[in-house]
Amino acid sequence: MIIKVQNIKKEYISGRSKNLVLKGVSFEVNRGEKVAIVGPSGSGKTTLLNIIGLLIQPTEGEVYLEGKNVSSLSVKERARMRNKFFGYIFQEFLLVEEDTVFQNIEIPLLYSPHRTTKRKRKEMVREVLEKVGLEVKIKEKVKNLSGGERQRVAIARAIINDPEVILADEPTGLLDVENAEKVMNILEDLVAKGKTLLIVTHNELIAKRCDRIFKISDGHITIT
Amino acid sequence: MGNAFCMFCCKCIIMICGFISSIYMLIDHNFVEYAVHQIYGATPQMLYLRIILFVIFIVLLPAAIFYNVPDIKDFMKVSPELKWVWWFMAIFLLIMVVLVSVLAILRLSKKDLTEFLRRDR
Ligand SMILES: Nc1ncnc2c1ncn2[C@@H]1O[C@H](COP(=O)(O)OP(=O)(O)O)[C@@H](O)[C@H]1O
Ligand SMILES: [Mg+2]
Repeated sequence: MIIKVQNIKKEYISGRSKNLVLKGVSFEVNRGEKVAIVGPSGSGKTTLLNIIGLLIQPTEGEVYLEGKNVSSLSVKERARMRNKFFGYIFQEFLLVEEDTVFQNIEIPLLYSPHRTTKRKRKEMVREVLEKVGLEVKIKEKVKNLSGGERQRVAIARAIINDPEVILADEPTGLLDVENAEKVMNILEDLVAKGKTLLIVTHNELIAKRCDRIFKISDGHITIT
Repeated sequence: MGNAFCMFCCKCIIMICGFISSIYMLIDHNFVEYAVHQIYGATPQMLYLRIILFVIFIVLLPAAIFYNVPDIKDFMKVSPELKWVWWFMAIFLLIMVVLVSVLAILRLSKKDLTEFLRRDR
C-alpha cells in the first residue's frame, strides 16, 4: 500500500478556542487507487489532504508513505518528498498570475535533485502541456487564461515531476461542467497509468467514479 | 556641523524605511509564489536565501552605480584623507543589508504556510 494513515488527530488552537477537527482517522490507500474524500464543508477534508501531503503536521498519529513513517523526516526530507512524491491541485489553482505558463510549470523542476537546463525544462513543460492539451499557451501569462485552462496548467505543474500520488482538493469546484469533465478525464488518465489519486469533492457523480469513498463527519471517517 | 549631521541621519532613516517598506510590499505581493515554491519542494531556508540575495542586490546596485560616477571617483582620488567616508559607507550598507534581510525574513516566517492554506475565511 502506498499511503497508510494511523489514528490521525488534528486540533487547531487559535487563542483560547480549540477545534478538534480530526478525532482519530485511520485508513490505507493502495497504489493505483482512486479515492474520493467527501463531507460537509468545515469537516476537515482539506486538513486531512494537507497532512497526507506533508503541508501541515498532525497533532497526533502517524502517516506512512510507501511504508516509511514520515514523522521521522527532517524539514529538508519533507520538502524533497513534496517535490517528487506528490502532485498538488487546489480549487483556486494557486498559480502565479503574473508569470507565464512555462514559469509556473517549471517550479517543481527547480527543486528536483536532477539538475536541468532551461532548454530541457522547456522540452519537459511542452510534454506535459501536450497531455493537458495546452501546448499553444506555453508563453501566455496565466492571468490571460480561463478557469478551465488554469486548472489544466495546475495539473501540468502537478505531474511534471512524475509523482506517485495526486492530491486534488476540489479541483473542479470553480469550473463549469464541460471544463470539470476535461479535468476529470485528465486525472483519470493518470490513474489508468498507475498513479494514485485522492480527490476531495462535493460532486456526487465524481465521487461515484472513484474506487472508494471516504466520508468525513464529526472528525471520523467512514469508508464505502 | 551638528545640524548637517542631523539632516544626514534623517536621510539615512528615511532611506532605510523606504527599503523596508518596499521589501515588505514585495513579499506580500509575492506570497502566493513563495507558498507555491514551498509546496513544490522549497524549504523555508531556500526562500530566505533568495530574499537575502535580493536585498544585497537592491542595496549594492545603487551603491555600485554611485561609486562609478566619474566625478565622485575623481573627488575621492584627490582627497585620500576622505577614505574613512568609504568605510563609513561600507559599514552603513552592511548594516542596512542585515537589517532589511532580517526584517524581511521575519515577515515571511510569520506568514505561515498553514495559515495560507486555509480558505474558509
Ligand atoms: N489554519 C487553521 N487554523 C485554525 N483553524 C483552521 C485552520 N484551517 C482550518 N481550520 C478549521 O478546521 C476546520 C476544517 O477545515 P477544513 O479542513 O478546511 O475543512 P473542509 O476542507 O472540509 O471544508 C474548519 O472549522 C476550519 O475553520
Ligand atoms: Mg476544503
